[in-house]
Parts: sequence; C-alpha cells; structure tokens
Amino acid sequence: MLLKRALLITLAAGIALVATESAAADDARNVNFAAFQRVDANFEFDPIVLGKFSDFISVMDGAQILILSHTADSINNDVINIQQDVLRQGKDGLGDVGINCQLTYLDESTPESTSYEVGGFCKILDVGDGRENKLLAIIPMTGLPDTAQGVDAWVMLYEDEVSGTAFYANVSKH
Amino acid sequence: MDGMKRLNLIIKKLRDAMGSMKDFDELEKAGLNKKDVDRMRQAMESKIRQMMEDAIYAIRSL
Repeated sequence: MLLKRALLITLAAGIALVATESAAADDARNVNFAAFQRVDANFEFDPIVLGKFSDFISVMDGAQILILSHTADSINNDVINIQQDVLRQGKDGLGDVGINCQLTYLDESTPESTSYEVGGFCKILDVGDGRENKLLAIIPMTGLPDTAQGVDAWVMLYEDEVSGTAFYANVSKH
Repeated sequence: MDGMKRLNLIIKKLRDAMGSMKDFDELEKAGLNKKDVDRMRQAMESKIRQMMEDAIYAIRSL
C-alpha cells in the first residue's frame, strides 16, 4: 500500500511537471473542487485520482460525495467560497452540520508555463444535539493538475483520518 | 419564515463568520503569503458586513 501511494505521488508530480512544460497560459481556468467522506472502513483515499467528473466519482466507491463544485473562469487572486452545511433546530439551539471552505486561487501562469494553485481552509462541522465537533482543515498552497493538458487528474488537498473526509481539486478549461 | 427564526439564523452565521477571522492567522502559520491571506480576510470582512446589514434589516422587520 505504501508503494502504491509513493507511485501515485510520483505520478502526481510528473503530471504537474508535464503541465508546466507543455502548455502556455491562455484562457482562464475553471476550478473544480470535491469533498468525500469515507463510508467503507477499508477504503483509502489516493493522493491522485484519474477520471472526468463521473468517472472520478465512480472510482471513489468506498466514499460518498459531499460536494462537487465547479467555479467557472477563475482568475488570479480569486477568493472562492464553497459551503454546504445544514442548520438544524435542536433542543439546544441551531445545530450546524457540513463543510464551509474559503480558498484562495493563484494563477501565476506565464506565456511559457502554467501554474495554478489553491490553498486556504475548510471547516468540517458537526454541531448540535450534544455534539460539538469543529475541525479546521488548513490547506497549504497546492499545485493543481490542468485537465486541458490531456490528463484528467484530481489531486488530494487534504485528508482528515478521524472524520474520513478528503478534499480533491483540479483545473479545467471547458 | 418567522421573523425571529430568520434573525437567529443570520446571527448564527454572523457569529461563525466573525469567529473565522482568527483562523486566517493559522493560514499564515501554514506558510501562505500574507498578501493572499489578507485578501481572504478582506473577503470575509465583506461577508460579515453584508450579514450585519441583513441582521439589522431582520431586526427592523420584527
């Protein structure tokens, strides 16, 4: 399993390198973001997953999708807010269950090479009816694969082992 | 929606958003550039201002 992860990380680095070398910056990209929660205890999130939207979701067969977000025509310095939570009236007041993310997007592409990065934080909330679970997931700036380079790759931004939550992202052109 | 319920909901989100301001310090500790984090702070402050306006409107509507 460790070997598999190491190979996937190497592949991810390779994809990022190919993207940097083979394409020049041209149009704005769409930022795609997905959050999953493990439902099969034996399922492991891979650092990089291949596939277009539907294939990508199908491959994650041991996890349920929580969010699939597509931010069209993102440009450098955009702050992207992604939120999917439920406020529910309980005995002790309003509970809050879900995910709330604020991400910064950097497109520092030049005519010679491309560079797309995202970073920020997500709050994983499970509050109400006696529960008070609030996890702050810090996402360091992470290079994103560009599907316009011909490889539909998703890179893992963050994984929380306790809640079984993982975030993935990439950029696309169409 | 009942006016008080609507107000409670806005105040809940407002309180959470205000509490988020301290989380941006963690981003700087994690190595994000200050100018990028400052831009995120500005975005959150803008959301907070909007929610405060919503709260004032909800209070006036009671």
